Amino acid sequence: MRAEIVVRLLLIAVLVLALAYLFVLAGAKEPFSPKVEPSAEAFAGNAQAYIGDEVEFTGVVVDADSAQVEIGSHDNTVVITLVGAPPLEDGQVVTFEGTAVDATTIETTEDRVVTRDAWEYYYMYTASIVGAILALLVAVNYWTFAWRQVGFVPREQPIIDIGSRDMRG
Amino acid sequence: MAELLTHVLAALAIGIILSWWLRWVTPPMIAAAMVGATLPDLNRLGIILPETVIRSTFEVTWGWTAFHRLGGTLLVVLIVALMVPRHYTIPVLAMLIVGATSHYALDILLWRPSGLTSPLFWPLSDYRIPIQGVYLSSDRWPTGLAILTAGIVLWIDRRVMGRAIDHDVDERTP
Repeated sequence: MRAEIVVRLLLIAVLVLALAYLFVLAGAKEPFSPKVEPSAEAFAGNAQAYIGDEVEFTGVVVDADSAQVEIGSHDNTVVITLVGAPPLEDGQVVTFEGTAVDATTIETTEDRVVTRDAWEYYYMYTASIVGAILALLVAVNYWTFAWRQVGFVPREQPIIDIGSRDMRG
Repeated sequence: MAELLTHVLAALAIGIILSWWLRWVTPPMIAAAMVGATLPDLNRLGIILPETVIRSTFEVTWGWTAFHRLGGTLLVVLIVALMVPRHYTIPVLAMLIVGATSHYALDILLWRPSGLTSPLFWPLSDYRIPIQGVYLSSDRWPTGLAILTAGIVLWIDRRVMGRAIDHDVDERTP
């Protein structure tokens, strides 16, 4: 059993290193990107490089009357004018695809734009937190950590028994 | 992505249905499927620990997006499956894959303005699936449908399949 534990831990270590390498690769641009390029942050930093390109972003409407949308995150943001969008409202979250006409103007069409109110994003993140908690609670209900085996094992009995199904299968 | 509650409930329903045919799919294995359904969304770690912080601290490129791509998900699924003793590894791995696959199946149906998915097969390929999505991640009806489906499956599991199991047990009891 000790040999199995050592092998498992070694394999986990190797896989974690491989995963870390993927993170580093994912942050690079070449030879191919795991993201839809360019990112909003990349556009905000060097919009001139993407003039004429098809771009896809999500941003927040900061001035509905002039169709101005702020894209990017943290300290790397830019306000663009979204030409061809349907009527917008201040504070809406807007996802769109269009052509970068210049550094601050993107042309699109109504069928390539979708808007959501801010509360819908709050709902989405709340539902996700509830889902994560549900998965965690169910996992804790049926699994426990066995120190002698250095791993998770099914409980003999769940913390909360919600049915009469055979745990052993 | 669809929000996580929809993913977890979908995995719960799929796990229960599988348990009707496969005796080794016990409640702990159904829980493994639910955990598997959450793994691609580990890219949300970026909300707590932004990529820019890692880049500036360790002077490396960094992208949490790898979690929500085939390569990253495969590695995470293997890591989690190795966290159980050997005799549980294969069934846990299978259920984690079931959960993660259901996650991607639902995400492929998300509407995107370009009509193309993200390059989900990275790093094996940068292919983007052309598909006309049917819902937004902020829509409420997918959650309602997932709750309804999970509820129906749970009801069938308790009222119909539960009785079938008790019947089998009675037949074997002298």
